[in-house]
Amino acid sequence: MVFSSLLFLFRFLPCFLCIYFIAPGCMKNTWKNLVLFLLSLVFYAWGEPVYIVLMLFSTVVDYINGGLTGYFIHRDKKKVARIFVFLSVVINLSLLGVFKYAGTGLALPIGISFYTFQTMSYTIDIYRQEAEPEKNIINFGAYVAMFPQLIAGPIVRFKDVSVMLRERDITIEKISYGIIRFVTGLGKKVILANQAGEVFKTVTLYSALELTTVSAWFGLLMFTLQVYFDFSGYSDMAIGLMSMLGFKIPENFNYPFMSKSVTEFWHRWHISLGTWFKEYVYIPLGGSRNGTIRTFVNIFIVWFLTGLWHGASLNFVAWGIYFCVFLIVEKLFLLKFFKELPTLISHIYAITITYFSFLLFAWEDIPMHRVFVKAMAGMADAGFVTKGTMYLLINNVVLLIFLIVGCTNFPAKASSWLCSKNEICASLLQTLFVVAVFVISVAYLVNGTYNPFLYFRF
Amino acid sequence: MKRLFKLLPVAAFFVMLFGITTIDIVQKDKTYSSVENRMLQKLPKLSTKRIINGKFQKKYELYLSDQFPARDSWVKLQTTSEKAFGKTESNGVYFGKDGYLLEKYTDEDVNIKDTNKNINTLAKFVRQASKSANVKVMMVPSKTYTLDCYLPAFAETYNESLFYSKLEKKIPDNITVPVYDILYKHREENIFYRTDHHWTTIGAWYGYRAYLESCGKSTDIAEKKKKFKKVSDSFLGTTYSKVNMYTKKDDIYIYEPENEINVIYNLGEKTENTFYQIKYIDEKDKYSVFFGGNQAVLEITGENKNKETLLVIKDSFANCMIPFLAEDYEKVVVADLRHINVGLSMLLKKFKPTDVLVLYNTIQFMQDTDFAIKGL
Repeated sequence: MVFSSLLFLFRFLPCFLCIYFIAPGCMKNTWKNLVLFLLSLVFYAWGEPVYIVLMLFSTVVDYINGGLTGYFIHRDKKKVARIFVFLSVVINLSLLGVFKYAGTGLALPIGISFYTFQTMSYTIDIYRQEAEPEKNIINFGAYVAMFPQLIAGPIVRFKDVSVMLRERDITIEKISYGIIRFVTGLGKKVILANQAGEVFKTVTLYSALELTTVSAWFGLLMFTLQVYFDFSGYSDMAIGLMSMLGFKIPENFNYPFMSKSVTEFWHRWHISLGTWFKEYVYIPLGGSRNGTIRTFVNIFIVWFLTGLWHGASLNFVAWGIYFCVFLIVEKLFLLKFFKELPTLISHIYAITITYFSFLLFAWEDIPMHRVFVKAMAGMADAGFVTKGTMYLLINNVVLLIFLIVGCTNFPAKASSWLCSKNEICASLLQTLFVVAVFVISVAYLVNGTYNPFLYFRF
Repeated sequence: MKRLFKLLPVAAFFVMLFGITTIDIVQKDKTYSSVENRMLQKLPKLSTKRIINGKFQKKYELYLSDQFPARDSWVKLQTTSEKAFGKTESNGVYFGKDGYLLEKYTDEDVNIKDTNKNINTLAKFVRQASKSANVKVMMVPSKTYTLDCYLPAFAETYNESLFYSKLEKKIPDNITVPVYDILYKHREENIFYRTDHHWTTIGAWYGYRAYLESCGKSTDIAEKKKKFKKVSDSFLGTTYSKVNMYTKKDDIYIYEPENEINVIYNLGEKTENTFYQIKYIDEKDKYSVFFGGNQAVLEITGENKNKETLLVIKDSFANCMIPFLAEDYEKVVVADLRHINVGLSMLLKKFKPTDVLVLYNTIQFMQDTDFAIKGL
């Protein structure tokens, strides 16, 4: 099930909210967590009922591994505890390996890349004594299966939510914030990302004879923006839903296109994945503490894996290594060099590098890359621009403006400025925003056939 | 007071969420959508097997979307939003100038293989039928191609001239009735409906005149028939249904014959003495006022006893032109290949026509999948 569907909005969500709010908050939220766990399983099973077995397997195995790790750690038997951490990592990576990378022809279980990473963080955090094992399997099940972030993140580490699983309050402020955040994400996905996606789809459907230089550049730009609005919209919806349930989870995006370097971009883009790799791969490998060469090797390993995480295909690995190269160059001298220059140049540099990275990200097959690179280099068979290209541009100029403004923190700044002026006025504006964006999104959903979630396949 | 205002966004969201859900659950399911002209998904059957293989879930989502309350209004809202985004098209329909809604046809909409098959079958049929009858082929250009001056800036549509040049190579010149030029010349005279893909009675009259000319007959006959009666001023056709966007409503005109005529429907299913089924004027599908929509076979006779029989092989574009043709022959037989199970040779044998007219809309002919099978 996806959030941007009539099924979720007008069946699952109202049912879930009713049961969840009615469920008693006593016994340290066990009842509410039970509701969250069971209905998350329903949410997950809707699309692929069979894989519910996988999810339950993962839950039970990691519950046991985490418990045993904790048991031995507390008795100072680090070596024994390490066996269970190892076991947990092997099992989770095997699940990923079999379903994602082995090419067995099995359908990719939705969200497997996200929840296996979450459950790995659980045992590792316990081993590091940064979290206590969860004794109540209902609470742990609720953490693993938690539907808001189950299928496309953010990757919530156990230590981020372990306390909230037992103690959290649901306040009107949290619900209000959650609703605004959820509706914002819904609008980003349904109104903006889908439209950008349609432009990109149109351009990719052009034959090599029709693709012009301008349409290739424009198409790739629309793809870049589609990925951002799609994925960050999904994160907004997840954070919003979690807030409605009383949780506060870390942010996943922080205006990545406002970065001044590739290094900064990755501190602002898919933050939860970057954090995960930093904490559970980069730092254990020694981080930057063992000399320059070793640091670069570590960076390479992390980015190779980051690329691979996005899919079992060479283009994703190339995408990771592409970033790795720029990160290393920046570490060596480029960042110092940019410090001397006006910030505008840094911005242009960062945007250009990330823009081209999506060329690698967009397709798994080489011929598409070749056609696009050739067209973008000005050697398109159809020429620089045609009537069709002009039509595409003119029809999407307004959309492009919305997308570009949406990439900046200007809307957020403007709204917080308005809210600080007059509270009543702010509430009215918020209400208007919620109603308008929700209603228009529903209109697109009722009519729309084009509604893919890009981060589904990961 | 301030706290109350803080509740406002929450209240608004929950009212929408639970309100729409409740209405959706309470309202009765519909079986048919007259706007979209299709059956709607019913509540799918529930069984363990269907849940495990996912069939139930897929059908259920279709069901939700099909039965969504006030579906047409949502579609209208989406189109309005698209327009606000400066888009000049939505759902494959261009918002043309002067209230024209124009279907967008791309290369993907026409299959070259099917088209070639249809042209080859047509060529063979023309050769065969020409042995015993006077054969004419009229391909009516699509509205979008003819009215390209009404298209939004830079918008393009399928170039039908490619089809016409292909046709020219396969079929002798004196067989094809050229209508594109004459329609193009009169493009500002409401020859196509604004909200539907069909040509109007006026457009069809120009087609009829071109047919007479190409048969070497006097066009005076056509001039005499140039008197139309308005039967509706509120037609919203199939193109409108795709966008549900408010635009100028269309008028429907009909031509009323001088003398009495007699129409036998589908080899004796019923007999009437009019071309028109006026009851459709009060329904959504107003174009069905012509013969009640597409019929398999119509046999029209009247007071003319000139011993000539015309066989019309056609699609829906012919429905509003046949009334002009009817009185010129002793008998006019109209056959819609999409609705009958016999081939063209059978029709020639059975009705022994002196004249044959193949009348299709170009795009519909290119997309037709029956013609190549039943053509011979």
